[in-house]
Amino acid sequence: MTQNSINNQSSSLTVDNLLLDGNTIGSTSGSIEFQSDGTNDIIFNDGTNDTLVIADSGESVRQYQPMFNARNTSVQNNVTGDGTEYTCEYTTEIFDVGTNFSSPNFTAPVTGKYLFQINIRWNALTSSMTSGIMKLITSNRTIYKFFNPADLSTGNGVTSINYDVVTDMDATDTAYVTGTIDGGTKVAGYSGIGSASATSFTGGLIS
Amino acid sequence: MTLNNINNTSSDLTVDNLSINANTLSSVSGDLIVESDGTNEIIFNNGTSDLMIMSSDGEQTLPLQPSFLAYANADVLNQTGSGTIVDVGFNTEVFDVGGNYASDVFTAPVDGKYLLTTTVSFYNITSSMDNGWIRIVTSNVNFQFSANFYNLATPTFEGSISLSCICQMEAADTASVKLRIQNGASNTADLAGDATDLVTYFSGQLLS
Repeated sequence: MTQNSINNQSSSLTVDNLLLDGNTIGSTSGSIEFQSDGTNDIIFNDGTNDTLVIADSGESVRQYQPMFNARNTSVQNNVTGDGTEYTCEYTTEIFDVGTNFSSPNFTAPVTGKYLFQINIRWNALTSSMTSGIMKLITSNRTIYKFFNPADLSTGNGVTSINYDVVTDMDATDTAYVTGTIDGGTKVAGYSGIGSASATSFTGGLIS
Repeated sequence: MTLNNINNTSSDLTVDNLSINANTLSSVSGDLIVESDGTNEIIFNNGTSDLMIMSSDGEQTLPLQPSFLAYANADVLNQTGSGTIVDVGFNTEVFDVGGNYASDVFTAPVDGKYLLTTTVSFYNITSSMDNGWIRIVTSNVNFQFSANFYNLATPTFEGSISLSCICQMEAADTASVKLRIQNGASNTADLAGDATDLVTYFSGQLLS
């Protein structure tokens, strides 16, 4: 078969501007285009799983891209309020693509840029608790958010604080969240609300 | 040489359902599948650098995708409080893939959807500074979060305000951060910075 004969050559094969050489599909001039037949997908596969599927209608799905969403379904009482820095634990994983999250830590599987989103629903805040700090602590750096728990809390001593960041991580670097409430006694905590992700830690590899 | 004979024809090369024509690898029928050997990567390279790396575990990185993180490395005093609108400074780059960030402004290199996130920390807030906002200002639209700044902080302790958005930007469009604290007697509110920790920062990324 002609194709098999070509396949058995050790030389490169050039067709118009496309060069097939070793494991490489190259272009000798112009862009390289991957084109479907107009009705089906373009699929990149690692030998077992489809790692990138580009639908004919243009949607791109990367179902093995590292990504996690963890939340608290229970109340963590009496963890801070007196200046104690508490490492936030998460009781439930909504998803954890690549199993890189194990509460409280996310561990980067590869070097890249990661998006993190932190949200904590604080409770049992009192009027004397006038300083609060949340930290996203990564191996490379710490990213802060400051707040005044007393003035932000509702009548029942609750407030939610959130923030996001895009940051760099190297493979095996870790990221986790801590919270510190100060000015009172150790009665403050954080919680979820039933099925709502009121206290959550989400993140993923974005480039 | 057989291979050159193929090269010199004007016809497509067709192998089963795969067709090679000009610069295009296409499927005549069914999905077009690019498959690795199960243990190695699929790499897209521009002739010099890897543009996209798909590992055998499915992780995909885009080493040259526009992305930046910058922060303020020191406090800046007496910036706002009585209504002055401040162009927030982020004078230290952690990374700036593509070199699109300069002088506190991100400039979009291509049309697309961008994620932008910021947190600004401040202190020396008086009880009368009970209004204000933070904005991510882009060429197309501004995004704003309003707050009572006195409730975010205390006179002796820092407060922070955060805002994130996914926005449409065209090539050469810009994005920056502005902050306004109002109703104080004077512009005595300070913006916080730190040499190593990120307390005031601006980050972004081309998503699609």
